[in-house]
Amino acid sequence: MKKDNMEAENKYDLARWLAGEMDQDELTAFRNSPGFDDYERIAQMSRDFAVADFDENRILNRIISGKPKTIESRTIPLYRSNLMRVAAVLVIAIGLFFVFRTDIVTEKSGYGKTGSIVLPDHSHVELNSGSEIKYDKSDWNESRKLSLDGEAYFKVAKGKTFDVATDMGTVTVVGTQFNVKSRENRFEVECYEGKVKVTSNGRQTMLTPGMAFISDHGNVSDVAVSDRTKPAWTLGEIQFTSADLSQIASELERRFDIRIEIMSDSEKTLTGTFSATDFKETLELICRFYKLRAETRNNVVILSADE
Amino acid sequence: MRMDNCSLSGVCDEGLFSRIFRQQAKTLRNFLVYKYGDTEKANDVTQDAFAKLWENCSDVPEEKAKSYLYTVANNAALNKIAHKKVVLAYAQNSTMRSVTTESPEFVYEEEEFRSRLQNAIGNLTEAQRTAFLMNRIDGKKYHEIADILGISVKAVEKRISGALSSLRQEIGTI
Repeated sequence: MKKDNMEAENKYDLARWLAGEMDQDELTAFRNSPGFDDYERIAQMSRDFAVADFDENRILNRIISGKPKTIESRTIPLYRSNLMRVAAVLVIAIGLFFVFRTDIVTEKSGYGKTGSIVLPDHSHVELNSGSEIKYDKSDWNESRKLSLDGEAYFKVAKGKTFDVATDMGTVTVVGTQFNVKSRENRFEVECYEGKVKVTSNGRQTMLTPGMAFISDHGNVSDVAVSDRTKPAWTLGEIQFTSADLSQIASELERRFDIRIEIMSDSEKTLTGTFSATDFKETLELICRFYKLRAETRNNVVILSADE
Repeated sequence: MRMDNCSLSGVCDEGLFSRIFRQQAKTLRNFLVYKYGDTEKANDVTQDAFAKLWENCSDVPEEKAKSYLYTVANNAALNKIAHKKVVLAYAQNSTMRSVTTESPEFVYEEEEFRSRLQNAIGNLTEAQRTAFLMNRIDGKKYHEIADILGISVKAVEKRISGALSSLRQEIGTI
């Protein structure tokens, strides 16, 4: 064994020592190295750390009986006398607060605006109106993972997996181009280049270029085919794929930074591409499709049935 | 490309679900604590993940339950938990030392070392800290950690070694 550079060089040896996997020679050499006493102490002491207790039974019962979690239920552990007393003593006695080093970055684009972001690995993100991404800069090279609320187009630099987490599912990719839309109850992923894996509601779907995944209120529609090479919204267009009136109105609000109120309901869904720059034209086409009348009151566009 | 449940049985049986819960819940919850440092949120996210599994029990086969839980928890955590302070208690019933034989100087020095160690653990990278504490506190073997984190055993060993080496360095330089 190379005794001299035991500490610095061997990336795995400390772990092997900790797991008791070193052979006799290695162990003897390690015991004689200058850092041994410290390592020994760290290993022993770290084993005696603890985290606050976790009441499995209570939580399991609550899940199986289907009782929703309440604010009150969170405070219950305070009254679980023994444990809490012990925990309190421990906390006060030792006062072990420590701060983790992180660097959470939030990027937002407001209504009527779009944004363009370059991530630490030079992956590109274009954010559609009213969207937000968050990621941990300090951890970026370790795991390329960000959370998305809204819609964004990604051009991912080659490398390790790249995860986009949304409320409704996760998209995992390696070096590719794709669009993710996570709005209200609708989740859409479209792949333009490379391969994309979508995990939603515990199901996984693989997308290749030209394929799209759409889930509306948890209903997954068959994977549609798209012939675009970039999402319509990055080209100044608004694209709807079997969208209902309220989804259309929300999208118009975000893209044109306006407020819309719908006084009519319709079950019809709409598929088509509209201008994201000419509000009048887009509104007129949509009104015609749904047989609506539009009027503006106090800066709110009111859509009602056109009798 | 809708996937059917076909022959996959799911985890709706209460006994099976309870067993999965007992096997996985504490590990998942502690993992979230080590990662984000927020015990209460970690409890919530763990509970939510299991509630969701229970809700969708017919869609999730037993062998997928674990990865389902971690996926749900990681997604929720990314949205809900901001990294923050953690409370790591020191177990008093430690059998390591017998109090009677220790001089006050030794006790003081011991406390000093311990608080440096706690501080240094907080300064580890998330990846190192998670792997290290899963091994030290939960007593997980490297292959178990590898399995949970979806990385290789070599990668776990690298993180553990890295953790030990940074801890020693940091403790030495304060």
